[in-house]
Amino acid sequence: MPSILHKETIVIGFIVGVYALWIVCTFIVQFKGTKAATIINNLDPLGVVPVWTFFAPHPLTHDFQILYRYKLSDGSETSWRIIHQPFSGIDFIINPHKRYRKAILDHCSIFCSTILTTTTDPNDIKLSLPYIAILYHISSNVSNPLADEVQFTIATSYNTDKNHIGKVVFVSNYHKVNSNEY
Amino acid sequence: MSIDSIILLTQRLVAIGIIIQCLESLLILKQYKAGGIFDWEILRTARKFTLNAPTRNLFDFIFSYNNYIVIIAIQITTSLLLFLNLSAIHPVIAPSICLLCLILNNIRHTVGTEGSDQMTVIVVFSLVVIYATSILTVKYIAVAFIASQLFLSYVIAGIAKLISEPWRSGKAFTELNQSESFGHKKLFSFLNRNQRTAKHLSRLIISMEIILPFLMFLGTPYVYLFLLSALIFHFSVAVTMKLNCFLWAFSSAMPSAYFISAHFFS
Repeated sequence: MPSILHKETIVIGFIVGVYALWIVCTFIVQFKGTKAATIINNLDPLGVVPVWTFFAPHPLTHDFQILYRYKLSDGSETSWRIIHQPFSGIDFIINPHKRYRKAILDHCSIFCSTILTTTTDPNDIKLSLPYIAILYHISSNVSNPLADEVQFTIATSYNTDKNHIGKVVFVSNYHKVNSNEY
Repeated sequence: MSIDSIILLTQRLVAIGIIIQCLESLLILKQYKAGGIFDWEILRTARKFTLNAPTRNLFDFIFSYNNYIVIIAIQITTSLLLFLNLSAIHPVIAPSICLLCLILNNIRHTVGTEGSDQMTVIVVFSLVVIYATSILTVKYIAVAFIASQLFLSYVIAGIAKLISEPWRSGKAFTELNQSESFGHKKLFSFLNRNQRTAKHLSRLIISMEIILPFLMFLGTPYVYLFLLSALIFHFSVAVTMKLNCFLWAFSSAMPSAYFISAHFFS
């Protein structure tokens, strides 16, 4: 009987320890940008420590749109086209395009903040994950068989006018389509 | 309600949310193929342990297109087992496999995740803890942990808005609604026309997020007000901000908040 009680105490102690650590980490990561929060985020590749600040202190006030155009084999350029980010109409029940839109948003947000804060060679941003991800996504889904090169733009937009493009944040160079030469 | 009924309700609610998430992933499977926005070939470069050997080969295998579909299928199956309260061999197996799939999903999606994913992991982890032992105290601790994370989520969100001038003035609330991703066009038009209302609504949200969770400490019937307000809040967030899975993830934590309040503070 005493050994069972002892075992139970160890189990309870361990679980309390794990939960207490989780709560403490939850507190710390809310202070984004601090050294402690960065350390915890780096130690949490599984993404189990939550950030509960939801849309604060500065919420997203616009969308990001990715536009692209092709340079054709004869040297002419097509008009800009927009990457469609669809909605289902019953999004409050099932929202299949949510992750796609959020991924575009995350890539663009990270990329734009990198542009604003980078102190290194601007060409280095071409090696950043968001840049490569966006370029790869566009160049892998080329709709024009005559396309030789592709260029993309990141712009802000607002829901007040669905087709309203706000500010162009970034324009890429031309890149060969279906090529690894980024 | 007994603690076992609370746990059952919790696992049913969280299972619904996970099944919806899985169906959503199945509907955009194209995005997980080569050239899709979730192409693993690109996203694996985000983390050292998925980019470098020897773990790289393991994750490349797990997250190959066909195997990722298997992960989603396993996740649906284990969630159904949780919803129906059916146990395969041992009750801890279904939540454990489900948790593993959720964590793999977190690794797979270096972009595109949201707060409901984190609450889902918290709840399912606690279900694993609950079913892994037969100790009653552990059940109480796990339920208390879920309740405390729910409490923290609202209070922290409220304080983060309180210290933000744009939120206090209602500007942030209005402008959030002008985005297509998380906004609502008609609500934006209304708030933009009625900026005093926007300010009052924004302050009401901040006050509710900070104050209402403390009703947990007053026991029943006060906790009902907190939970009902939270449910209405998440339903309106699902409708206006299209964040449908928040409703299920956060609802799944509410039975725990009720239990802790009714059991320890009434």
